[in-house]
Amino acid sequence: MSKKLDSVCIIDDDFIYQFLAKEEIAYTNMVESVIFFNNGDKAVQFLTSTLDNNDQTVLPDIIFLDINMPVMDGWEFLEAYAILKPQLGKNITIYVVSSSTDVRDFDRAKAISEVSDYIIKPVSGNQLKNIFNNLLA
Amino acid sequence: MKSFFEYFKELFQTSDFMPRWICGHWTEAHGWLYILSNIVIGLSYFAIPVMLFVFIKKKKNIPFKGVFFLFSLFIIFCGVTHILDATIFWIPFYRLNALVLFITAVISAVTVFTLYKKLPLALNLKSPEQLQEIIDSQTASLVLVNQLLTDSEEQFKALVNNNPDVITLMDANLRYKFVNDSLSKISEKSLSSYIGKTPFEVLPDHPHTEAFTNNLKYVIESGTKVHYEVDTTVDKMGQVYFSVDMIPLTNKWNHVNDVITITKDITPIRQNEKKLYDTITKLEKFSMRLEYKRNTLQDFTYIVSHNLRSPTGNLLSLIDHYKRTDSAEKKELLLSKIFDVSHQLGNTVHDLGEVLNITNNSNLNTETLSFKTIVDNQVQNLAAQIMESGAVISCDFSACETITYPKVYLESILLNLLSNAIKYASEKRKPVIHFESSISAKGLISLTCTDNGLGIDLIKYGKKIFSLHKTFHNNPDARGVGLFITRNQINSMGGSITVESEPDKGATFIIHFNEIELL
Repeated sequence: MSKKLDSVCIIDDDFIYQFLAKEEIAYTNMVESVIFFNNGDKAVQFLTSTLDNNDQTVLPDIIFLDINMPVMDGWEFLEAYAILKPQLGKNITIYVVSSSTDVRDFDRAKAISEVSDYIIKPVSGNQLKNIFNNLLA
Repeated sequence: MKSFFEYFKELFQTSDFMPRWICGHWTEAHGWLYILSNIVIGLSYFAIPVMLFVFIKKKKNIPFKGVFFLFSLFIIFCGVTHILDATIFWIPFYRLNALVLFITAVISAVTVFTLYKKLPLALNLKSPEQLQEIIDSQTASLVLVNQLLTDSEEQFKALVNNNPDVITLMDANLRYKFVNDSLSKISEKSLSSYIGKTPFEVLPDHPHTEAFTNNLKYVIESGTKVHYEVDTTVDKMGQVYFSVDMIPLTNKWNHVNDVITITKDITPIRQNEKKLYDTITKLEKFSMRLEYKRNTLQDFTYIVSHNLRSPTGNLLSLIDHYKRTDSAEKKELLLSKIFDVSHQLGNTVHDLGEVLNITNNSNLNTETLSFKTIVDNQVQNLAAQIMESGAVISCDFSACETITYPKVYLESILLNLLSNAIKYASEKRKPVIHFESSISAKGLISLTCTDNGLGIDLIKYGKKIFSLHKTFHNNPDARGVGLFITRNQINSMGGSITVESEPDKGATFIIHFNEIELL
C-alpha cells in the first residue's frame, strides 16, 4: 500500500473545473481528501480559522490556485498567504493553475517565492500523479 | 633830479630859446622848403592811420591787429614830431619836442620789438595765390568726399528700400520723416503722402494706428527700445501678424530726436506655429485613441487566455471523460456538464462579439439626445426590478440637457448603470439612485450616477472594476460584463468613466463623454 497525501486544496471559481479536478485526483488514488474554495477570500478565511481554532491538522499539503477569480483573485490570495505563512505550522506547496498562456502571468507567478510552479489547464491525471509522487518522495 | 622836475615844469616854456627863423641864417626858400615838407610829411603821417583804420574796419579777420595799432601810433607820433619841427620856426617848443621825440622813440622801439616777435608768424601767412591753391585742392577733396557720401547714401537707401521689412523714421512729433519702399507692399497710399504726417493723419481708422502711436510716444519719452507683436489687417494682405521694433535715436543730451521703426511680417511663422500646434493636437488625440485600442487589444488577449481557453479545455476534458466511462449514469452527468460549458462558452463568445462591435463601430451615427428621455426609457425597461426593489430614482439635467452621442451607446450605458445600482443595492435600505449632468466652461459634458448600495472596495478592486468577467459580490447574476462593455463604449467615443465608492455606503460613477475632443 503506497503512501497517500492527507489533503489537497483547489481554489477555483469554475465548477466544471472543480468537477474535472476531483475526477482526476480520484483517478490517481493518492489523496485522502480534497477541499474546494470558489475564490481566494474563502480560502484565506479557512486558513485564518485554522489559526483561530488552533487546529492545523486540516491544513492541505498542496494548493492548486487559479488566477482569475471574483472577489479575491489568485494574486491577491498569494499576497494574503505570504502574510499568514509564518504562522502556519505546515509547509504548503502551491501550484498556480490557469488557462492563461499569457507570458506576463507566467513571469509574475515565477517571481513569487511561494509558488512552486505554473501549470496550464487542463491538468491530466498523469500530471497530478507526478506532482504527488515528487511530494511524497 | 632837480633839473628833471624843472624840465617838466617848464615843458611849454619857450622864452629861453629862439625861434628857428632867427636862429642861424635861413633864406626864405630854404626855411619854407623845410617847413612845408615837414607839414606835408606830418599830415601824410596822420592820414596813414586813418586809412589803416578804414582798411581794418572793412576787412574783417585781419591778423596782427595789435601790430597795426602800434604802427598807427608810431606813425601819428612821427607826424607830430614833423609838425612840431615846423612849428619851431615860430615857437621854440624844444622841451615839448624832446618829450614827443622820446615817446616816439619808445613807441618805435616797442613796435620794432613786436614786429620782431610777430615776424615768424607773419612769414607764415599765406599769400592769396597760396591760399587759392589750398582752396582748390580742398574743393577737389570735398567733391570726392561728397561723391563718396552720395554713393554711401545710395547704398544705404538701396539697403533700406530692398529690406522686406517696413522701415520708417519718425520724428519726435510723431511725424514720418522717411519710409522705405516695402511700405508700398502693405499700404495702398502713396509713400510720399506719409512724409511730414502723423500715423493718425495718414491712417485715422486703421486698427493698428493707436497701438503704434502709443508705443512711439513711449519710446520718445523713455528713450528705450520697444518690441511688440500685433495681429491686424492691412490693405493689401488682409489678416497678418506683425512684429514691430522701435529704436530711439538720441542726441548728445540723451533726448530722442527720431525713432526708427521696423515692422516685420511674421504671418508665415505664426501660420506654421498654428499648423504645428494643430498637428500636435491631432497626434495627441490619435495617441489617446491608440492607447484605447491598445487597452482593448490587451483586454482581448486576456479574454482569450482566461475566458475562452478555460471553457474550451473543460469541454475537451469532459468529452474525454464521456468517451472513457461506461456508466450510463455518469454519461448523463457529463452530458449535463457539457451542456453547461457550451452555454458558458456561448455567452462569452456573445460578450466578445458585443465588444468587437463597439471597437468596430467607431464611426457610429451620433444624434442629439435628451438625457431625460433616455433615462426615462431605461426606467421603463427596468420597471419590474424597480418596483420589486422599491428604488427611488431622481434626475437633474438642468445644467446640460442634451448630448450628441450614438443612441444605442447612451441607452446601453444608462441601462447598465441603472441595473447595477439596483442589482447591488444594500439589503439594509431602499435604493436611492440619482442621475445628474454637468458641462464645464471648456465644454466637457459629464454625467454622474450616485447610489446608496453595497459600494465597492476600491482599494482592493479599483483597477479591475471595468474589466471583463470581474465580479466583486457573490451575486449569482453577476457576469462581469456590463461595466466592461460600458467602459469600451465610452472609450471608443473618446471619453472616460471613473468610480468613487466606499463599501456599504454606495457608489458614484462619473462619465466624461468628450475628453479627446477637447484636447
